[in-house]
Amino acid sequence: MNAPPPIYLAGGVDWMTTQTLYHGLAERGEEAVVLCWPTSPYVSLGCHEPYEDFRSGSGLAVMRRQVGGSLVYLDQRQVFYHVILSLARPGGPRSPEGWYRLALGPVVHYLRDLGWQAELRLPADILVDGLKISGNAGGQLGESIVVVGNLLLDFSPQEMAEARALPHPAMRSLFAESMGRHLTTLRARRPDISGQEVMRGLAAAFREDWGSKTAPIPWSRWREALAQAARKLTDPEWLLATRAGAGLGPVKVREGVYLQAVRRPDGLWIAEIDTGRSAVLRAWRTTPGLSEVLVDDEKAAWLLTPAGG
Amino acid sequence: MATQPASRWQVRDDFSYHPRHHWCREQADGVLMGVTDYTQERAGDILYVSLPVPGETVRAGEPMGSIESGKWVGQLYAPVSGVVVAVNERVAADPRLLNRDPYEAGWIAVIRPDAAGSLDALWDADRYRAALEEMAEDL
Repeated sequence: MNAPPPIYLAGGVDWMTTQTLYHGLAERGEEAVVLCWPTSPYVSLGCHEPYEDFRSGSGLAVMRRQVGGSLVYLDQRQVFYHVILSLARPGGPRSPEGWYRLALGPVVHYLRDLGWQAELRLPADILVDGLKISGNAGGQLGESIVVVGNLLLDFSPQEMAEARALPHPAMRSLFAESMGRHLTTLRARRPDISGQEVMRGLAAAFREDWGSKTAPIPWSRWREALAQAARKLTDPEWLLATRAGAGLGPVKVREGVYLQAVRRPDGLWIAEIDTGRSAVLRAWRTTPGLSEVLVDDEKAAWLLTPAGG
Repeated sequence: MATQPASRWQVRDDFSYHPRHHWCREQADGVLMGVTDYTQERAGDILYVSLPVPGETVRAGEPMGSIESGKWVGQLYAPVSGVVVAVNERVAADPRLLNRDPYEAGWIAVIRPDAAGSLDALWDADRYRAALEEMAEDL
């Protein structure tokens, strides 16, 4: 890689700064690898996601990012990495998949250095032993390419489920339970690992793979770009964007695994679907006056059809 | 590494092309535009599209909307400067139309150019094919 981007070890910063850093640097056209985490929890909505996906009753701060993916709950128990590269970088990838492979290579490298079986699950999840440990998203901002993601030190599926608007209260507990089965964390494998240690390990991986060097953070140079990004990401017209048909779309658990709700005369059906295997992993039906019924895969196979049966 | 033939991407002879992989065609009410086969193929399944609003002024080479696939947001660029007079609501409702038929049913917008000869600066099909050949060598 030519002229490797500098690494900035920002560590704990206020929640909005964890988002304005990469938006602002992309706007400035500065290449960088930024490592940080928020000092308080918040919710980040995907670029095209309907605002209705956010459960405002959660009381969490919220913003909308300019890169893809869906709603995520973020807090101080996650270590973020932001990779900002020039679109015109000589020999740079020509597809989203290529950029993901490039930017996330050092992250997978770091996890493997910990002795774990880490792999990139395209488009943008990193799994350890088949369980999601990192979510990522990316896109083109101006003349820059941005890939951003997090490593889960610890994660509460309940808090994530509380942040997501869902069509039925039963779906909240199912969502949390499903995440619990498909996600893992660094501390589940190394209980004593700290955010600082992860940040140093990631920096070492980017140094080894790309030749990047750690640099002091030029906060004063960035201040105006970060302030401008903060205004844009919370501007009501941008933040509150809605979308027709919001509310019953699939809810992602990890790449290839979704919860899908479908309303029918016999109740609300909720299925956990593996799109890679085209299989209903589990399904539930909620019926007024009755407890939730777990339905076997065969009977719920109609949930796999695009129109929901 | 084996290279991939540029001919894997369809290029229509009767269209003009912007270097950022958008096509254009003049019609009575303005310049019809969309994304090329290369764009849709590299993006993969397109899940969302954000279109400009009719009446909006756009500038050649600057973003006028976005598409999302696989958690990746790409930009839609205005190939010419002018005013958007129509957008394809079918694409907004069914973004995968861009994958299925990028040159016809998947058109994106009609732009009324603010100057005559606005397509002159764009590439013809042969030049665009040559650019794809160069890129294919890097893939």
